[in-house]
Amino acid sequence: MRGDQMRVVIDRFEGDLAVIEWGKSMIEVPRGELPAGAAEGSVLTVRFEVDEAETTARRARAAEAIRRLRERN
Amino acid sequence: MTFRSPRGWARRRRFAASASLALVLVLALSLMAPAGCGPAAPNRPSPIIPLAQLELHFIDVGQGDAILIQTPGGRHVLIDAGEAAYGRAVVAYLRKLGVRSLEVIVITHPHSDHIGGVSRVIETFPVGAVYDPGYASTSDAYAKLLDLIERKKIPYHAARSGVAVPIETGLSFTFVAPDGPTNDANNSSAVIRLAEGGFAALLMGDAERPEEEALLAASGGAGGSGLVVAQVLKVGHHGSASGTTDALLDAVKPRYAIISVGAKNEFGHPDPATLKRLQARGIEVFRTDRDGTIVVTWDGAAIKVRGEKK
Repeated sequence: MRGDQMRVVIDRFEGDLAVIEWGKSMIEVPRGELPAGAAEGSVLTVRFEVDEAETTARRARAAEAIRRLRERN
Repeated sequence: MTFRSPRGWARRRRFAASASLALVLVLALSLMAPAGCGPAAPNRPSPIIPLAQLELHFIDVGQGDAILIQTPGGRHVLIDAGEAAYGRAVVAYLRKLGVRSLEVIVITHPHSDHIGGVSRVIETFPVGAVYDPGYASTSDAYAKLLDLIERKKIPYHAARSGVAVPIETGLSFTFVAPDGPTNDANNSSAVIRLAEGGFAALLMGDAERPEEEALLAASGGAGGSGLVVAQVLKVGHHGSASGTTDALLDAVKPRYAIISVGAKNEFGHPDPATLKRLQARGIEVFRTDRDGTIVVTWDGAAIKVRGEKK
């Protein structure tokens, strides 16, 4: 790894899935999620973004489930 | 044929390991390998059953490959070792069999489901030589594995068509593909033909149609040199749709097919069409996802195949 940039490697493709070496783990990612030009052996940089809307929606769903379960008592 | 020599190393190791009960008993009894016999061990009980058969263990490592070969002379060769998460399991299996050292490790190709566990094996057992087709993978796992091989000063050779690995008198262990690494890792897989007496096994790694075609072209196909004929076929690439063609099966003419594959894998292995091609020829199929670890034995007269769950 160079610098602070996180990098992962496409180990192989199995049909429509890319098998990606992420540190010591292997993860599977749909081929369509990868940038154009990504091939077996390609080194990819990884960048995270906070999905505020999805975070809020999930928090609300969890709160709703908690409320429903408590009301059952 | 190019001859490499892990043998000299193996002989030195063998004397050094003469305290090993299993190894000494095997060697003392083996007619196959008089050259490797160490001094007779005193105060050792006689074994009830002398180990004089060839065994191929297709170890259940989920979605991946790991094959241990135990020769009639008690020598061991490992081909792949599954994902890194299975490294411990492979080491434990080898220990259970009494493995103290490996003559040779073959890396069929550098995908994680084949090389992941190899580093742990090399850290655990002395290894005489590593054979690798030399597809230059960019993965960390591969870089670390090559570093380890270098650090341990293990002889490292190209797994290339025509290279015969000297393991033991009477045992032929020959790479029949690839001619060299291609631009595709699966189709750069080391393909091995293992033969002893009237027995042969063809171990395909993750070879798919392109490498099968190259192999058949080199061997002259169904009516060819017999380079690929084998009773036991380790099916290429976990039985995917992309290989195990009719042409390959017609040339190999196997009686048994072994598929190393993980239960409920996300890749659809093995493919139903591949299974159909095998079944249509009356080939008996064994699968690690259903049968667990599969052991093939050849005692010089008969072949037995059994799965731990079958």
